[in-house]
Amino acid sequence: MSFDFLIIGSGVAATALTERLLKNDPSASILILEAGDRVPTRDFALWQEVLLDKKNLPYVRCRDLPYPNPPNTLGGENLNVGSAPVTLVGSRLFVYGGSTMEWGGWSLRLKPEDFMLRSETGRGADWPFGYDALETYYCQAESHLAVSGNSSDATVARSADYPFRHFPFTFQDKPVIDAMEALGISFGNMPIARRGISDVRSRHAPCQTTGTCDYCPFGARYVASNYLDDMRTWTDCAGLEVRLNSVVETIDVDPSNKARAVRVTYRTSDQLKTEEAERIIVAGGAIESAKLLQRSNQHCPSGIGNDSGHVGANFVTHPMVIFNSPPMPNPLRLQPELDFPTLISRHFDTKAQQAAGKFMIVNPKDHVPVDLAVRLKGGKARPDVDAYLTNGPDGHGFMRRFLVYVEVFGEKTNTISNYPHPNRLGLLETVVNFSNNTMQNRVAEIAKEIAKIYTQIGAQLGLATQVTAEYVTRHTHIDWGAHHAASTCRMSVDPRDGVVDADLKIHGMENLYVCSNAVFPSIGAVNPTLTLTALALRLGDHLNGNRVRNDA
Amino acid sequence: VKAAEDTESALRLFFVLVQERGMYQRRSRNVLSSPTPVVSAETEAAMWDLFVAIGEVWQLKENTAGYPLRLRAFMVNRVSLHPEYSGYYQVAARFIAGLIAQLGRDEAYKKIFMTEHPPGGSELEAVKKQVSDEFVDLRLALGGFLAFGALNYRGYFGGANLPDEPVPYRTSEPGP
Repeated sequence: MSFDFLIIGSGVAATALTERLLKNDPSASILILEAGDRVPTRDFALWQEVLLDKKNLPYVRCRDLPYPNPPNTLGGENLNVGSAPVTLVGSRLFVYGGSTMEWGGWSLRLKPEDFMLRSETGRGADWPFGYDALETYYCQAESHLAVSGNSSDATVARSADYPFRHFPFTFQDKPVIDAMEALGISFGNMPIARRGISDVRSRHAPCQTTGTCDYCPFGARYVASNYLDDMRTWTDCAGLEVRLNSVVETIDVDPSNKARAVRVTYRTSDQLKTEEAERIIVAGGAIESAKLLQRSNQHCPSGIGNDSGHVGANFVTHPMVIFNSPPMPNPLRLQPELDFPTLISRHFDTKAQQAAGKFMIVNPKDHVPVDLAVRLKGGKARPDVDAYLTNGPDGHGFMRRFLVYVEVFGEKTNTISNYPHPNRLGLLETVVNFSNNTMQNRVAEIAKEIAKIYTQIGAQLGLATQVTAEYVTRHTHIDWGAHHAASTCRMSVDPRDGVVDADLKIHGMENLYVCSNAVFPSIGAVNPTLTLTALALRLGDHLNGNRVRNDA
Repeated sequence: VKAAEDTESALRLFFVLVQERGMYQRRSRNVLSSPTPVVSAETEAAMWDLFVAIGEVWQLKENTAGYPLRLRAFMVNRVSLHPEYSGYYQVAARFIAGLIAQLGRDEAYKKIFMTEHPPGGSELEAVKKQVSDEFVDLRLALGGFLAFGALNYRGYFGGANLPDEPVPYRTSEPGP
């Protein structure tokens, strides 16, 4: 049997694409192959486990293992050969639903200048189309992901309201708001994928602000597998089939550059089979998608679509930089009351900052990291707990913290590739080769702005000394997680500059597409998932021949 | 050379499996397990008294209507995932009864709650970590946190964010 569409991966890209394909043609036959297994969602007993300890998250087992430590020893997974400590563990999941199982739901649009990075700065690459070409699909993606956002936010132009109203700023945001207003730093509401209630019919439950978003007991945070299950259970689309524990080894391409089939190992039966399809879409994330093309090298030694050497190259991610303040008293008894942030500032996510690397400031959910449970379980009596709330664990207050995402530019020398050892799923492990020598300087520049905010909030060093950028720089942690891995099969107009064209079709191929963060020519300073969802919906329309044309 | 490679592969697989076992959330139950043990009425009553004492010691004072049912559901879920919890609850009931007989109720519970580092391997440690500390987490999440000034908390069902309805957490703007 030959399927109409074969999709590799079951995350948000596969799900949004499948939904769009079936909306346009409910009789389409679609096979989704997922290397991972199912983790139950919306399970109350498992939720209780997470409530007691976040380490009990049921999908932890679907993460990469840490790198071997020390290097070149047995144990662990993957190999990091670059100078930056990019980590895979905790950055992605091998599971039905992909990394949406644990994503935060931050759903931000790129800005128009992000689509013109090369033209604006001479660095990285331009997108083959502009913001306007994607705007309609951004609106549809916000509906697909059930985003709660502020429709009056003027950061970027929008043609439709968010499907659900924004979450108001928390009390914990108040000192930050006051400080940013005094400093003239713009800020806004975090658009967040948490379902609300509207007139639009849905089987998915609204957010109950339960504060356990890593494992929502209701499924109010978008998890792709819930939506695929919904399609499989409640629609008449008999042609949709999802197979788990299915590791795609290679893609078979015939001499006329047509992808014919994939070779897949079904882990439960340990059988290698061939599955044929009219069109094949690789949606396995920025890392696995590129690796699959690289190892599909029956006809081209360097792999499919890799004549220009861009498959696996230009690897980027966002460093998440945590800026800590000196301890400050907490007279308002501020505490985390939600499990997601409500305040962001894109004040420095602008054209003016683009050449140096745009950045976005997030006031995190635990800006004031009060933890009542630890105090009670640690044997502290009520007066001690009350004193802790205002004076911190040692009487000096609480360190405040900001999270900052910084844009990184693609370099052809930063790569990912296959490592010739299978991981526990049977997928080849990954070699990460990423170096960055400029981030420390950029962090020091950003620290100047953060120091101003902390000073305005009232942070001091000693009795009256203001917080300095040097202090903030010293109390910074750079997390090089690969959560936002991207650009490893980037879009380009010219085949010499990238891997896929503006329709996400691999240059020179007739029927083979990539739909993942891998196709992003650049990632700006914001989370990529909303943009990926928009691209998936756009691809769905393209494959059905009715894409919204607004590419001027 | 091939033999060396095979040995390395085998060793590598072994280490991966060892690490993986640590990462996987292993279920104690399987298809051959006996039916889920229930918490006896006597044990449940003792656990409820422990739960009440948490509120007394930390002066939580929230409305506890509905808590008995929530506590029972919590214990049933714990036992369903980890059958050994049936034993933990029984041991806790017996241990607490003995402690109350020895110290009186208030002092007995203080000893459980206020001992920061119980002796390793002691019954006190097991009762505190596996039962009392988990009940503290649950009690705070059900509403105990309200005593400390917030409107929402990790694990609390605060409610939806709906237009024209009160926001289910403290906001930056003063409320009506």
